[in-house]
Amino acid sequence: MIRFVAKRLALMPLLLWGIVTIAFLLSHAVADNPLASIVGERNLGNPDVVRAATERWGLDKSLPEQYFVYIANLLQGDMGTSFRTKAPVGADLAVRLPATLELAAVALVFAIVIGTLLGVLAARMRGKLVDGVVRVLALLGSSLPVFWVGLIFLFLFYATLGVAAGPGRLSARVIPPPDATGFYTVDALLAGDWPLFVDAFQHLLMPALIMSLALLGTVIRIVRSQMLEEQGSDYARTARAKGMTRGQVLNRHVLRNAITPVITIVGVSVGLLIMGAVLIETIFSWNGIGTYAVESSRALDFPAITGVCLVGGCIFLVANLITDIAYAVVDPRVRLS
Amino acid sequence: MTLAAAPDAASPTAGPPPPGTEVPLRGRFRRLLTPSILAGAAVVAAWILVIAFAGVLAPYDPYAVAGPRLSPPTGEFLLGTDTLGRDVLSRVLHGARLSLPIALATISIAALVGSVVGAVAGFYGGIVDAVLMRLADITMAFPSILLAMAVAAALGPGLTNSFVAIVVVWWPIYARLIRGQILSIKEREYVTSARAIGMSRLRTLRKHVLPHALTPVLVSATMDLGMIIILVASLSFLGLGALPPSPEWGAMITEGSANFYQWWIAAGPGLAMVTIVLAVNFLGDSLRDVLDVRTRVR
Repeated sequence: MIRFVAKRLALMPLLLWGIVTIAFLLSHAVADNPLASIVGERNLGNPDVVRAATERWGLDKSLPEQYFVYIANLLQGDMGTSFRTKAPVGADLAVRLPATLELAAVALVFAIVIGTLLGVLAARMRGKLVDGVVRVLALLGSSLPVFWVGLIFLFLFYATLGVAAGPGRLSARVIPPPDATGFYTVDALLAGDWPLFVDAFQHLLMPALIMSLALLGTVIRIVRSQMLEEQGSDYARTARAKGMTRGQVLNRHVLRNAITPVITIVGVSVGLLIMGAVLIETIFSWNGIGTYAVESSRALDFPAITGVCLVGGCIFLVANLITDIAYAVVDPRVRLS
Repeated sequence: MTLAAAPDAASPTAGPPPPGTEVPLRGRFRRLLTPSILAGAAVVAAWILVIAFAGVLAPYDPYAVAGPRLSPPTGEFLLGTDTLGRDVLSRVLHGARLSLPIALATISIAALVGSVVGAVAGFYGGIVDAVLMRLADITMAFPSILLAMAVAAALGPGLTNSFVAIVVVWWPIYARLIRGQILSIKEREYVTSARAIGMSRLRTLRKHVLPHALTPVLVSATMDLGMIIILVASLSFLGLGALPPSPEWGAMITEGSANFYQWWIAAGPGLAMVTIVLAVNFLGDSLRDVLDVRTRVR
């Protein structure tokens, strides 16, 4: 176990270095001139401005030179300066990361809770109409383009029916809570401001629900097939033979074993959650990593894009490692090697 | 499901298959005729017809002004008109010619590249394997949308570039899949036997290893096709793929999001995407159940 973790941790810098290198090379294979996003289209004709900016951002140095400067800075925790916001990428990301994490965490909880309930339901009603409906629902979840669903839901539930909160993390003219964790719901509670908490939570609901759709199908499928598999096992039959009712066996024995693999979802889902974040944050004007990535890509702001990729990759790798460890802890039969 | 259940599947001389052999192909095809697969296939067939006859089916020119601007759905314009007064239905039908072939090409090339890399890595092993698989690991450590966005941003917007971006992101999935298959098949007895009776390495790989390793790739490519259709549209939606005036579905939805209260502009292309993706996913899902390929976790 410890050897496994050590091996994975040792591999991580290599993977992160690979990510940085690929992102760096991509940024220098750009077809368009990044100077346009630094000084603005209008100033491109002004040689003085262009020369100053080229020197300022080190674009006059050779490619290997730029690369080594970038890596050296990175090792000191400096991810460079954004072309677009002119602020350090690290600071930009630190401000936006909590918004995305808050959204993703709520989405993950939704996916696991709703998915487990539906999966158990489908397994108990196997072959019946309910089972079929849940199966279609699971497929629908992974078949819907989230950005489109976001748009339609906003139109229906916010603009037309007025039952849901609109885009953004808070209602207009509501002042954010004093910054402690960056999670508005948590900060509002820390400040003891109940109405603010309710407002922040209401704004989380719809985007998180839509974000969870993509994961729902996977959770349902895993829970359903695990329930069916465990139901047919020897211990379940023995428990029945000893006189437990079918419901007791399912709840006390089968369900506990069946939901263990749901843990693996957390690792698998990070990629999907990041994808959801990019698209849903764009639709819901959510000021997180996703909108930052989109705006940076549109502006060819490569220090920012590289930073997002690096942070995204870190989250992805750490989440997968934690998943593997958690799985081994929960299920002692799993041997990590 | 056995051969006996299918009366005409076996010739009179053929008995039950000896233990340990694969289910004959004909028996497998028979199992494919389930209602869900047929339903999925029907929708896919309908879209193929749309792609073939979009010019005939579309009531108006997808690029030309056909009526008043921002008209809600009427008898004349079934899905309404957009900001310039172009017919949304005509644009959706023509958009199928972009979105679907691009997605199909993307998945095919990604599966091909991945299979070749994975087969080479798995069969030759050693340093080749190590280098190729580390490259796959690095690519997969990128959250896929971020890498696709970075590649698309570097190449500049356009559908061809989103195709390249997604292939770059997607090949390692198949490389890993086929490598795993090959590693396990390589040790089977019939492969050893083939080598023992003097078959060359390459011929063994081609004749005995690859055919068995390909089924999971095909199934998983089918299952991923829906995802790819959405990914292509997502890149366009973010402004990194197809650009206006292209009737690509994602680009049309972007236009719809700019005209939030004219819901029909985004509704048409979105619904089109949902029907085809749902049908494809239904096909893939059923195919996996029937062929009993183990669910891969990624």
